[in-house]
Amino acid sequence: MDTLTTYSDWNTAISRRFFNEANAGKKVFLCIEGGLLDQIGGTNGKSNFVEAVKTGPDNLSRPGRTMCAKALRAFVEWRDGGFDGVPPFLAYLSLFVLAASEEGQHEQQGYYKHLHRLLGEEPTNLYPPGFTRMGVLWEELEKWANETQGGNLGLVCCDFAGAWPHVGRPRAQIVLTERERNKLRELFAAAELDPSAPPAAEEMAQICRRFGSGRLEARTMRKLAREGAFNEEMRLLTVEALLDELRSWDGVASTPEGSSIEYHTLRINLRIRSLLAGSIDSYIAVRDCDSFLDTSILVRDSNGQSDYNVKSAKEGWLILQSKDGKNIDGSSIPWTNSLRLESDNLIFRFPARSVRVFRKGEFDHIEGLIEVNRLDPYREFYVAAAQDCAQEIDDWGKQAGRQWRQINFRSGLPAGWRLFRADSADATISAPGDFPVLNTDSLVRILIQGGVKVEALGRRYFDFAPPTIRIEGLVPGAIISFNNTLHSAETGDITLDLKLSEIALSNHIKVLLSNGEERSASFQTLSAQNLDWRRKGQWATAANGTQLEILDERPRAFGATILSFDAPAITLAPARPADMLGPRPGQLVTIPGDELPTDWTPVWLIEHGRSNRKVIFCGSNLDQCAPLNEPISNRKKVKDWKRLLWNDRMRLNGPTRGPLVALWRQFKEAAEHA
Amino acid sequence: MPNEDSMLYILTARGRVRVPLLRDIVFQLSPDGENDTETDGLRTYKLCRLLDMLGHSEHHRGRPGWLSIVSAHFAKLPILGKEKYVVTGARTASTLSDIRSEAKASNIRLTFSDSISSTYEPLSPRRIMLEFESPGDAQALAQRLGVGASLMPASWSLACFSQGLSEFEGGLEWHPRNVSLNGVQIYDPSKLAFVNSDAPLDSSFLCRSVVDHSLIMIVKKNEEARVADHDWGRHWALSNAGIAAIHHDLRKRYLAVPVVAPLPRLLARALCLCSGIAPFLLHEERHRGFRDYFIFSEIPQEIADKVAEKLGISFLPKAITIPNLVKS
Repeated sequence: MDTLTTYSDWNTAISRRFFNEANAGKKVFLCIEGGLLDQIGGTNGKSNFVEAVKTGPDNLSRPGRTMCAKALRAFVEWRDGGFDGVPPFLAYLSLFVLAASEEGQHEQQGYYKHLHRLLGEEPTNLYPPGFTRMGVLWEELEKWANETQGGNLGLVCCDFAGAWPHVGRPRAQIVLTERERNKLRELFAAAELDPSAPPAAEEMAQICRRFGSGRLEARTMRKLAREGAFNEEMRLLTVEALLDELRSWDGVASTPEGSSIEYHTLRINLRIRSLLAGSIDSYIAVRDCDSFLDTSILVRDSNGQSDYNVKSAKEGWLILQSKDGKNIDGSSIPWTNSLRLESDNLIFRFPARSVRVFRKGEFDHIEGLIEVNRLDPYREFYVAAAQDCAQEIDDWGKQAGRQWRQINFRSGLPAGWRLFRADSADATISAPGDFPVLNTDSLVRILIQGGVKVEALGRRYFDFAPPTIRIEGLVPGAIISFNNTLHSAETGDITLDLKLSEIALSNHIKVLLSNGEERSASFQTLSAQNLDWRRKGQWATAANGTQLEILDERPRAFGATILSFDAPAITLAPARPADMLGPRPGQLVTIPGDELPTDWTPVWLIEHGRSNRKVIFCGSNLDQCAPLNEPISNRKKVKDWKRLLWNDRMRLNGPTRGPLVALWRQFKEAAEHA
Repeated sequence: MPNEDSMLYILTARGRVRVPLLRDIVFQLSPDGENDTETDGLRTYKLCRLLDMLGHSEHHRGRPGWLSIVSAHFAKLPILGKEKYVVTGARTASTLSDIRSEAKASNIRLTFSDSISSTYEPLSPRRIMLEFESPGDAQALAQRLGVGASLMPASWSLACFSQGLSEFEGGLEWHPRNVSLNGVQIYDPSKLAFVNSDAPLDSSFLCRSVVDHSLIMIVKKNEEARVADHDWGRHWALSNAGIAAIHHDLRKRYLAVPVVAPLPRLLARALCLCSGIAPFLLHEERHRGFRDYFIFSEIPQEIADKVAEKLGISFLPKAITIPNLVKS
């Protein structure tokens, strides 16, 4: 391995390491650590790297120019040069991440001290000059990877910033190592987590501790447990990263045998029919997923005793049905027991719980109430509790719930269960520890959900189908701005009400919390005007309906076109009897009656009639329709051809516009001299 | 807001989309409650068929199914004496204006019309129809725009190209019979449905598994063959029984195909490209034993004959009365 010494060498090596075709469509985190730098740059890789970054690119060294100024200058020159090649400031960003990765060594020290120490400077809590402007470079890196490269070398997400975005961005790259991220699927599967309904942040930390052994690094486990020296800000960032990974988990995990299993969580959906009559319908629902090849999935419970159908419903949900197509009454399944339904590599799990929390389905596009795994204290919520814990829940609800009351139903809940509701909850009153679903969340987060992306792997959305902006856990006093316009919103989990006219090409959403913390996110849109409609399709269909590649030489249908196939000529019948004429004198048939020609193509069709006879062009390519001075051998036919075109010309109503006029004149002239 | 062409824009940008992913796209493009009668899966399947029929994309069924965009094309309509074309395939919001400006720059005179192509699916792309003064103009403009144009009516080429019933039969892979009549439903051509039947069977019949409806077989004496294309399977059974289920009104140029016996997709595309409009749904009075039909319009006799020839059965001449267009 060659020793890397110059800035440019390091920049290239790091970009190759993180941005390559093997990472197409995957999230890339710039996890720069000392060990990795040794791996990339050989012995003393880390110190060589730091020296190279301190020196910077050869052409940017100027007396008095600071490191951050050089990083910005590198960006400006790259931009002015048409964004050619990889971002030249990548090594600078890597250095900032390296400083974050060193935080574990001196836990109680702030980020800036680590950065100064790395650079061989006096450790202070002051940020280096120009450091607050480095956010632009993270955004440009994101734009380059996600838009310019279309995610083909990997996707970058720098939205996740924590309370202090300048420090949060480099920190967010390092909170989990690559190995840890690779092990998370296994952890989520073992913990039976549901990506469509994540738990509250603190509960997530507990779950990850419980199932993290052998999957998470010891330092992460300590951080989650608040053991030893730890930084609370870094801990929160870690939990956020874990939640972020959970949300983007597709449910797939590997088995110890090496095969792939896909897990989905079944949730209860309650639809109150009548409060007066006390009737409620209870369904078992699961979020639709693009890995469901069929919209009706036959599943069997793990005991092999019963068969069910998981069937497509509406607006992104599937409902559990019996084999004969009737919706399963959710109350007929014991809610305190777990249920596991299987179909090939799909596993649907219904977790056992003695307390279940519900919220209105509007947020999730489902009618009625849907089960969730965390409590939004600012919104109306429902709690169903099994007999043995209903009293404990009721006691908590009476203290914490506003307008807390029990709702009596005659149906819809399993025997012995009670249903309560409240307008909101007091988050300061802790829920009984045995029921983590009643936990509220102290973190505010922005979620960009739904919408239709221009490229499946990219981050740009069609302007006519932008994503929905959701803010979870919004606390009172927060200020929301979208593209610098203030928006008012209620507290709790909210969906930002945006008009299409507010959506720009580049969109930024910011939430400023009353304690000074900030959350931000961004997305881009593209107008359908700016796409190329001349792009070529790739797939065609053989005559028997099977799929063929367009480059296949066999005859194939491609939309309205047929390739490598010549259909016989068609002569469409006119509304009334007519004569059909070809380009050679004498080429003439009358329809209906005569056989249609097979050795020549008719050019004109002249309807029968006494006068004003309609002349219709029925040829194909104009270049091949010009009259020919070679009469056929049948003299009578030649005579009829001439008579029709020349002698009777005053009775014919030929074309009067366009290029057909010239062709018609040529035919008449040919007939005159025939 | 999404419009009728939004799905086509997405397909144009993406090139090829898995049908399961398309379910989510359909959901994202549909305002709440826009279609309250169909499940996401059924609506997506119908939309795939529609886009395929209109010549905008190729819908390949399977697990998973795919929808792939085809290149933009001017598809000639089978209208005697008129140079009318519909624009099929890839499209963006600038397609129409690009065509207009190129026609103007090339001094080619043409008339545009722009209309909905389906009465029941809001995401069915608009029909863009171009009328030229000569076929050379269509070719010249298509060439300048870098798209394709047909010299021959696309519907005719497709009808000629599609396999016929004999090729369908010839393509089946026959194995020794294994089908037990206990686990299957038999296709009754007179009812156009699979039924539980104890009646004595003909020597050959179409059947499907009771457990897995996607498993359809043709059984002939001691042999059986799996049918991948269910549409062809049904029409094989109809031809085999000599039952003409499709009606043709020659005067009004309508062709009525029972909803429960859809045409194989290349033949459906051939009929659809006679007008560039998706077939509309005719609700007959079911309580009186009538069926629902898809009505294809502007079907010339020659193309109807060719489609009938491919299906191995004649169409029933019948006067088709359209009381009103009813939503699916």
